[in-house]
Amino acid sequence: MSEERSIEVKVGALILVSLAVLGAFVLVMGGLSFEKTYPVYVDFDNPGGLLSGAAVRIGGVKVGSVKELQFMGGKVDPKSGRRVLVRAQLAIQKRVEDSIHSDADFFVTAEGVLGEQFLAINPGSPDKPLLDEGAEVKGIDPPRLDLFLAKAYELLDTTVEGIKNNREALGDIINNTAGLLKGLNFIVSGNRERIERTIANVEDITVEAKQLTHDARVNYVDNPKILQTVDHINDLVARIHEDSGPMLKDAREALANLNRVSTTVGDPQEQEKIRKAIADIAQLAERANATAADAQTIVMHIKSGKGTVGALVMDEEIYDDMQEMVRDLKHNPWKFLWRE
Amino acid sequence: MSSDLADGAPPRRSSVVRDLGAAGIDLFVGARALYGVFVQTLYYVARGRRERGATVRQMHAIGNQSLFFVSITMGFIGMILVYQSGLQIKRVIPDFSLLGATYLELLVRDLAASLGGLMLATRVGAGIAAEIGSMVVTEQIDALRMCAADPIDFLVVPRFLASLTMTVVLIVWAGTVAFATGAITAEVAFDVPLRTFCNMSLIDWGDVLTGLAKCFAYGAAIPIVSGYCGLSTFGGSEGVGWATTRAVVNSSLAIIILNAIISTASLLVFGAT
Repeated sequence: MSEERSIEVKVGALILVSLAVLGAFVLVMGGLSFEKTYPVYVDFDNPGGLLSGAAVRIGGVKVGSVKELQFMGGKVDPKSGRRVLVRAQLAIQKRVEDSIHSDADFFVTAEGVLGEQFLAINPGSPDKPLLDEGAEVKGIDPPRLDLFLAKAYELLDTTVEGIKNNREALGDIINNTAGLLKGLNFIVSGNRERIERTIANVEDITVEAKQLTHDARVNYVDNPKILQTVDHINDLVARIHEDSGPMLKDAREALANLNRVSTTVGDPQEQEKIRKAIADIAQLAERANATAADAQTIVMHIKSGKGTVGALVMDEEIYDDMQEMVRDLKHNPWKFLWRE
Repeated sequence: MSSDLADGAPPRRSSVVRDLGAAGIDLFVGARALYGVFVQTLYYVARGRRERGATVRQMHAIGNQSLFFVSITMGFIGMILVYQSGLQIKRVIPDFSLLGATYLELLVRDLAASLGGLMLATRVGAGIAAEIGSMVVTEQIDALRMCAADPIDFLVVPRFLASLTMTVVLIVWAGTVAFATGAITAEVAFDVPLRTFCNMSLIDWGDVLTGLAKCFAYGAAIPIVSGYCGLSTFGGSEGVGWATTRAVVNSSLAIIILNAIISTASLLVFGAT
């Protein structure tokens, strides 16, 4: 009986050890999470070796898996307006939902050189909004090594063909280049001193230019006078700015007055009146001119002593007679009434 | 076959067609009998009267007593596998970063179960067939039948239950040992750090479930095939020898075929990951 019990204990211990190993394995594996996931759709032209069930990783940490790879046949998706050839449905764990932003990159890469391919996510910048659940994004296709090799092969083939077909031309080019280099070498070695001198001159010029730039900077850029002038100009501009308001107001008023005047003058009736007034003034002036001429003639007559006024003004004798007569009349007023 | 050489019958000329036909009929009859044993075993698992402690004794015989053998063989197999694959990797791309991950995936999905199953088929299968076969030739089975006890219920069912449980237990243990020895080999031979080697990134549910399905399938197949081989023993001690050989060969064959079937089913269900 005790032997049987000891067998039972041994069997039980073995089963327990085995279960513990299995349990630890499942726990350590970690991949067997029952975490909630949310879908994201990634469109590819060619997802390379990506298979359904492949891991989805952020920074190397598994955060989900590729649930399904669907061939869409290049149909235009009404939601995104894109032509979709292959669409991968990702199941991403809810816990990383807050880390994937709308500008995140989805690309296919491999673990190791020839390792299994998986989908990596670059989570994007934190200032962008978060990627929506069920969003459709464009994935970055993996580099096509086969295409690259095909193109490289084509390029090499073309190059080889080109070399074969233009052997003579290429030979000429090589010969000419060799001759050119030889000539250049001859020139350089023959004029070494001059070239060195030229280089020395260029160096001097550079030094002088540097000095010049420095002086110009000191005199015209960092000069306090220039700074003062600039300050004055600044003040002036500020003042003008201050005065410009009232000045502009006055000018506006003056312009308004002018405008009123021009409006008044511009009236055809007023213009007619002004034209008439000018004509009258001209006529008046003409008459005044004639009157002045007449007056001048009269004055001439008077000056020459012609006529009554002339004799009265210009003849001394008459003046004396008049004086005599006035004196006589003063002394003898009766002569007004009575003639001797 | 023995009926062909029965006394009185004129010896017939052997021909390829006749041999082929005889082999086909043998296979069909054998498969049918095997199926019969399987169905009866399942029936007695559900309905049978079991001897108290028989299953535990068988579990001890199949499990605990195989532990050393399985540990040694799987330990060496783990070392050899990692060493040889490491040499190949070194020749192609000297990058060992995924050696552990791929090795572990291979172990979990297939190698631990299949190689462990084959080891158990040799040890457990031979044991069951020899035990039942010698009981047949010593007419103990007939005695059982005379006592109205079905030998399948009394002999095969405890071994079936014990094998089903202990194959899973032993394969989990065998996988652990193979991985541990592989990790040590990688560290010693190729300077792969243990942390790098213990990479579980390539394992998913599909791998674990496939591995467990194989464990149960092999655990069921070994006692059924071996029990059938033991029960169909004829002749004397030579017959027991033949029964043992057939048990080992057929159990191994069953494991290989079941492996192919389960791997294909796994590929269809979980995809090629």
